[in-house]
Amino acid sequence: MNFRMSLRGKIFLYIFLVLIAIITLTPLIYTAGASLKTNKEIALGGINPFPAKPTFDNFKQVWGMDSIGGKSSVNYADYTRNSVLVSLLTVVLVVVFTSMSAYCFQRGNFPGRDLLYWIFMGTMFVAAGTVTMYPVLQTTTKLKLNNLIGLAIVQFATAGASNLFLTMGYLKTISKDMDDAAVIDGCSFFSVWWRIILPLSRPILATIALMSFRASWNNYLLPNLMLAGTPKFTTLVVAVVQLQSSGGSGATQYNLMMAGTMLAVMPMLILFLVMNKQFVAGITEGAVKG
Amino acid sequence: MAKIELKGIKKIYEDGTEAVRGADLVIEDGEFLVLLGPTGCGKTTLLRMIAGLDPATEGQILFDGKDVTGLPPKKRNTAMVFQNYSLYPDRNIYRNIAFPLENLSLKDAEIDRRVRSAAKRLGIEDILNEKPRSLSGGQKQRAALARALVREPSVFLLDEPFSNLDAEMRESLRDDLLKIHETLGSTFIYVTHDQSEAMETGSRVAVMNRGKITEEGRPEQIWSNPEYLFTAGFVGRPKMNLLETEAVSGKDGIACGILGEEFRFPNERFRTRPGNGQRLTAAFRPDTVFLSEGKEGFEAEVTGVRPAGARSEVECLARGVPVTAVLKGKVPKEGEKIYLRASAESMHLFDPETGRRMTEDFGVTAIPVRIRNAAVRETDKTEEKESGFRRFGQVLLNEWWELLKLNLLFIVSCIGIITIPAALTAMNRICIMMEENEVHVLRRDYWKAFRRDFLRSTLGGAVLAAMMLLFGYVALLYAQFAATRSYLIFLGAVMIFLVLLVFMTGIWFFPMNARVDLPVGILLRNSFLLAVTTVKRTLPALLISLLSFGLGGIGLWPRSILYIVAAMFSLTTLVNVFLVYPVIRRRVIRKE
Repeated sequence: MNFRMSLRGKIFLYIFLVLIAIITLTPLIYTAGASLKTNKEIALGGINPFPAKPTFDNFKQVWGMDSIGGKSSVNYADYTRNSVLVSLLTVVLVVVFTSMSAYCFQRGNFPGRDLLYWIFMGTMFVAAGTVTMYPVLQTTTKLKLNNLIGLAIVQFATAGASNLFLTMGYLKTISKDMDDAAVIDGCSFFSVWWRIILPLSRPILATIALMSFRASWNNYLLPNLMLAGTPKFTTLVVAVVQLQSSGGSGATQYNLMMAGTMLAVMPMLILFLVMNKQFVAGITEGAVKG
Repeated sequence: MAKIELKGIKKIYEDGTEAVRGADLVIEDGEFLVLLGPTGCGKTTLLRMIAGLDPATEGQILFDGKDVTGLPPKKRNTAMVFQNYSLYPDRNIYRNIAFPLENLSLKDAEIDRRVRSAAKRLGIEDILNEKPRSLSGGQKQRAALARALVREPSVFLLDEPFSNLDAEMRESLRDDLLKIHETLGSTFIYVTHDQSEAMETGSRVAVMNRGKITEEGRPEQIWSNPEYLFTAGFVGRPKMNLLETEAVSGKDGIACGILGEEFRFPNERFRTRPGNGQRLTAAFRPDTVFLSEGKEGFEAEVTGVRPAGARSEVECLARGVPVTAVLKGKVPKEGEKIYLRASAESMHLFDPETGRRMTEDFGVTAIPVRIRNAAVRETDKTEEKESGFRRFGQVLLNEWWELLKLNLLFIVSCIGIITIPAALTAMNRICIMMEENEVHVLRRDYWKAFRRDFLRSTLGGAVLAAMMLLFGYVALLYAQFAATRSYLIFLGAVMIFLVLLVFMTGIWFFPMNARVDLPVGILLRNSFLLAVTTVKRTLPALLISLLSFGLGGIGLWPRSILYIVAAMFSLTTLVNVFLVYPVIRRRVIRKE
């Protein structure tokens, strides 16, 4: 891709991009700055994002306290662990089952396949979480799945259709001759998936893994709904929001909220910065097939 | 080795299209059969049914008299080569070829032997480590052939394997294929839509049209005596001249008017005699048409001339009907009027309604195209045994950079590993002395002794590493003789052993040389403790090094792990020399 652009066009483009960058980054920078300020300094206002006297006390304080604001046995370390556990479990479920079902729908031939597929696809257009809030809550309560595993299962199930859609689109680009060759070479239906399709669909699986990790990490509604009342299962994002109502002496402690937010955002940022290049490489590698 | 029988095979798809409408065919054991037909005639479907990829709607497929119609592909012992290669893009060529063998759960050495022999047979030994993406079409198809070959199947199915390749590559691959057929003796079924390929390749050709096998026979037979009008028009370039005519019945034969000439066919020429006034199609090859000197024969206007070596294909228009002639000698110019002769002796007559030939067979004439490369007939069944020394030399030459890197890594690692116990011993020794309050031992001499020990053990490590490398090369040489899966596995295994050996030597041997005046009991007790601590402390590093040498050698893991290990050990060395060393020194001096 190498297209020419006039200087004026370039200037406009850059102004546009810089504007977007400012709009997107301002809250983040402000949060990052505010997390290093004292509550007093925040309360004084002003647009200067850089603290006069940077302090890490907020982080220390937040890390050691629970979502209600006091010292307790459940603290931010536990919330982080919960978030990591739920997200990882969701990713594992999503990757394994999406790949399997996409392979069956795309390559398999069984009665009722199309009907099943369209029913499955139909769930993509139901805003899972809000519309299905009550039934989900009822079901998980009855099944005694109000825990991290249950949360991961629900998250996996509600994201299933769109992931399946993406993966099936990718599988279409893998030549069916590859399956035939593998079958001739002695593979069964399952081992074709395991030995041929799974390695070849790595790029798309990496993409959906990243996407579902992000979605699960940032999910607020479901964990709040399902795990409310059991502090030991509180996830990071839920804990951050709950900080709002904390602070004890009446005034909201913005500094703690900001520090908490940074703690919740940072892992994702780091993950993105570390993995970004690798994922892009993986995706483009898949685009040029051998 | 299998004899294949097809009995009334039909394939009707769900939407009602009949792809194959009753195919009956017997393919003898070890035969090379070419399935020839135009695009969409059902030949690929038939092949896929023989392979077991698609189920037959009706009919039976027998392999050596055994019904295999319902069997899955892997129980039929067939191999298939596809038009678009179908190599697995994420595996290198070696692992592509080894794939069918992995499914048979053979031993690694056996897999390696077979893969290398298949690769050698097709001349692709030098690209075994490449991924399919980086190869040319010819190389890919060679690899696909090797993958089919490696299982030594009884039936070989080839679905237009060479149609994506250029002419030259196609020819060389076809020659290789025929050679493979002769050495292997398996049954080959080769599907193609290219009639010249069929004529040049096959020991027997079956022609398919609209889902049916219409005729079969040697290429010469099909070329000289096509059974159907369809075959007459399909086989041979330039195409046979097909002209419409009408039979005029006489007493001892019939006469036909073709292009204003009268052609007489005696009764003996017919197997089914046409009736009076029956419409017929006369067919004759362009090379049976001659240029007449005078004004005999029919007049024709030249519309196009295509020189083809010693002959020229001349396209003419005679009475508004296109006629092709292959002429030798003087070539007429375009637009020129010429007179051409054809004879009834070299003509076949067909019934245009049934499409069947009415005249008797001619004696079979040779096809005027290059049939087979003479070289193909020379069989070289005895594989030349390659010397291990030569392969060893080749490895050294081809992989010298990798080997050099590996060697350096190895030496650095050995030095790094050996300095760990040396330094720890020294530190431990001082601690013991301080505990025992034997300050009198800690004299300035001790420092000298320690330094000598330290350097000696480091040097010793290097010497040992060099010696072990020598062993490594012996192993490499051995691996080349044994043709094991990969020489690097061997090297990796040997290295694991050697690293351990050097490590243990480092613990037990070198520090014991230190000139320390200590009671023997304490020394023994503490050296045991020391060994335990040392192992505990260096275990992670050791494990990683084992992993990297073992797996990195096989090539499963990226070389980067090796570099990390090397960096780690170099760092350890540096830490020992620049951090541990001064600390010990300071302590010693302070105690004094």
